[in-house]
Amino acid sequence: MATMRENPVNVFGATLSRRHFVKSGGALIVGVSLAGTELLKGTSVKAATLRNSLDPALPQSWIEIHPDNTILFRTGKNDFGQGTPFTAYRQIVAEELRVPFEAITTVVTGDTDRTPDGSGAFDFLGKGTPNIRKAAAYTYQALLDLASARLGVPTDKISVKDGVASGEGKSISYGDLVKGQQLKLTIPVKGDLTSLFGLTVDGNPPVKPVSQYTIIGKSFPNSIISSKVAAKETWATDVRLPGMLHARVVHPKTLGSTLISAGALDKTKFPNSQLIAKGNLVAVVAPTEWEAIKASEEVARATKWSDWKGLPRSEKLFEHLRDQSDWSTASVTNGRATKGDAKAAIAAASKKLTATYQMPYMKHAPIGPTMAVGDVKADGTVEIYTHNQNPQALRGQIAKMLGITADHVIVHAYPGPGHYGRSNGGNAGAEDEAVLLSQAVGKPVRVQWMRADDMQWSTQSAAAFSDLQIAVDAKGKMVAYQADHYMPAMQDDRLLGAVLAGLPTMPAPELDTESVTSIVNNVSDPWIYAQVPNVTERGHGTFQIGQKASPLAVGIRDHSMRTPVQFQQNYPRETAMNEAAALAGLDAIQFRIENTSEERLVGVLQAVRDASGWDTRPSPRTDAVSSGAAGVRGRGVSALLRSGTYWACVCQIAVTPNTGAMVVEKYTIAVDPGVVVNPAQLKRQVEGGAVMGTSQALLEEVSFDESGVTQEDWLSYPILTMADIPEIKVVLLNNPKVGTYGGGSEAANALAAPAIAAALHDATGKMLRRLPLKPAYVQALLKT
Amino acid sequence: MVTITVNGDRREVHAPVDTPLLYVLRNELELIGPQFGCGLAQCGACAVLIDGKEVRSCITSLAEVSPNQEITTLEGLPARWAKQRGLSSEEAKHTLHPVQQAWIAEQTPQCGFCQNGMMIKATELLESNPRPTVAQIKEAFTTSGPSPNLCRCGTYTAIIDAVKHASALMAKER
Repeated sequence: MATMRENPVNVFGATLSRRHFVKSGGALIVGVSLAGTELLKGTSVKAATLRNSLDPALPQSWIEIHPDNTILFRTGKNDFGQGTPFTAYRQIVAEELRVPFEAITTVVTGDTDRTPDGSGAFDFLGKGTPNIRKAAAYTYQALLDLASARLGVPTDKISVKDGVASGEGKSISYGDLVKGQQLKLTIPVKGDLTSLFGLTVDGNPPVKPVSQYTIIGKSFPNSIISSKVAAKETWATDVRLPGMLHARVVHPKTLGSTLISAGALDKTKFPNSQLIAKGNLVAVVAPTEWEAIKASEEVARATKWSDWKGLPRSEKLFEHLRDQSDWSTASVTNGRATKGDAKAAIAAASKKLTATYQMPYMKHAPIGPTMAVGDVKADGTVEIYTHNQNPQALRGQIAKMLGITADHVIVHAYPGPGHYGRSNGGNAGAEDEAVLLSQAVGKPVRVQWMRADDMQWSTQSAAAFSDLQIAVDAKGKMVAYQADHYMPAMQDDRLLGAVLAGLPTMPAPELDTESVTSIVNNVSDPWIYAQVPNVTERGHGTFQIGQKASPLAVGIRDHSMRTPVQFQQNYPRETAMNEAAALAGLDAIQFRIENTSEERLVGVLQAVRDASGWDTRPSPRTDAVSSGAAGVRGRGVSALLRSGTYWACVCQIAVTPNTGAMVVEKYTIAVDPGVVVNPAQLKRQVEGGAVMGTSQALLEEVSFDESGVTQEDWLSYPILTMADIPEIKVVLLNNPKVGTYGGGSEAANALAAPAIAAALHDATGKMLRRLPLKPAYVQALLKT
Repeated sequence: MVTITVNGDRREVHAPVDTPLLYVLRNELELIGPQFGCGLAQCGACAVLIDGKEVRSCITSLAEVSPNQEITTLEGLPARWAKQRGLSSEEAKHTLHPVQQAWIAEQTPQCGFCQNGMMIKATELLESNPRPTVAQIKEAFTTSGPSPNLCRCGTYTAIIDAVKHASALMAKER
């Protein structure tokens, strides 16, 4: 047997070393290098909380190979219903390591003291090279190196199958390679752990060629589904700590109200409750949940708040945005596709259209309102138990609020109701309130928002409008596209509890922040129609509505929501493309094909054309009608590129002109992500996105008066029900020659709105240029 | 102290009688299948079966439940099935209700927070209508209860597939 080399070995930029021999057990543990990075800004090396000490040998490693051939991996990305850590990530790790899918027996996600890299529950596949793929690729190289030394065979003569390395007639399993030794592989990383994007694995270890894939491409089931269905999973809502108290927060009367006096707590009725008031943060804490609810309702009725009427009312939203918002402070951004002279081309063209498209505020609307358990211990360390898209960012935010370093904070991540981007910057609403109330009472506190809190005090997807101009020439060729996209700041990651309590938190969205919390509005919808010679795309940003005027500095807070910014920009663009096709007198799918040079876009368009039974012809249909009690049918198309994935969608609708009532009857969607990692899971994700997108297109709009959001429940903010879903057909286009895997879940919600709007136009001859396409708006449009 | 019957067991609970059943189940009996979604009977996340009928535990107070009524939570579905099919207690320990089996087979949940109510509704439906049509499934999940059963992740298609799958499983095991 060859002897293990004692000195650290460089493996494609990672460092492999043996710490010592052990009598039993042993492992290869893949950790991060601390050298040259700012993993946790302002943190001492000797951490206050032992479990946070950032020693890569402690178990916040990426991957562990065990002597029994089982494998564990960890990711800072927490599952939000995509299932990726339990399906695609497992497949990717198994593929890169050349082990069976089943060899990966443990997946650890999210917890800040047990996972290495942070970042959010978004962009899981990271354009084909997520951290975990690179970590696995480094690990494979280290295992080859170990096998080479042990077998005395050069690495290029070694092949691995099912976790057994073989060469020159000799072989050894991964388990035997690590048995009796404590091996450490340290891989290079860069970035800031508690930032939005967390740490990124550096360097370029060789990855397995797509042509050799045996695990990626198969439909493995999602392990967490089984435990959830069997009521065996511990959800964030299930966390119970010794001595834990239940809290309900009495949020201010309006989005600008300050506290005059907190209502008294009747101790004869609620003997075990405590009233907590810290600045404008008012709450009731009680041993039982029901007492906390009843006592908080009584306190709320008697609490006096100042009045505030600083919002424009939702009926005047778009007037306010256009005429009374400051679009000059934020610099205007230019899209990368800008070329030629769109203005001149439009001026010279004979067929042209100038139109404005309007998108309202929409709620993330998780099925369960936000909740968290906060536990501030006597030594000042803090533990938080919650469902969070970015636990490391939350950790940094809580540290800032309390004036401590991040090593004093642990966030434990659990499953919970998906909230589609709302906490990707670190908080969904209840986390910091739970911490502040725990600090106040010296016990763990569970804060559960009620449904109305979640509708009225959470962030929302930003409203937006776009001014578009398009021109086509006499032959029907699109010659110019000009878009000006207007949207208030789309991401407010401040901690609401900190804002209410007057404690430090990050600044409200403003000009000079470099991150997504800036008021600058970027063009984020990739332009996919390269044959159009003249293109101008500009982004215009402003402050959140009401935030500067609100004495609380709150106003209507915005936050990225599934397909953020691109949802707001793709709807106008794709609707305008449909209008341009109509102007040219051409079929809307054929028109798109003629204006692009991207083969994959053509592929998804042809796929939805075939799968939907599309009849090639211009829109509107020749017998389109905009009045009458008889239903009329129409169909429309949309397309999109996001995170390396091409999408196209066809919607077929029926509308009753007299009432404006619309039914989406069929929904056909084609997706080309490059390599399809897990067909069954991708299909389910796309179906879900189709339903959520249809819901957004038909129903969803935040209403507000001068003081705040007026919706408080599911009756006032309805979402699509099962009775109203279309018949959905998903076409997956596996395209291995692309060589990577693109995102397959997020963008699926963005295709419905422009396709349904186009279908309405096809049926009636009229294009509704605002969302949602609800009966009152459709009816009003058809009467014009 | 009040006595209720949950998943086949008589349980004494200490909560005041105006307490919604949801908090009694979750906080006192540690039955965490039902979830708090709205507290208004508008979503279905908190659903349980009471004598086989889907009920929203978030607005049903302890006082409204009599000791002899049979409450079934998600945790009690396997035993409910075992009893209906006369399985031995040993078999019952190692089985899931066909609805749960189908929910896994069809990979139905995404975030899964609403799925407790979806599985409870499916059980109610299949016990009264073993071979529902798609229209009947949609009717059950939309208009048969106090409110539609809402899913924000949009898993309705997967739920329909799973109800059909469960229907087939139940017919097979009959």
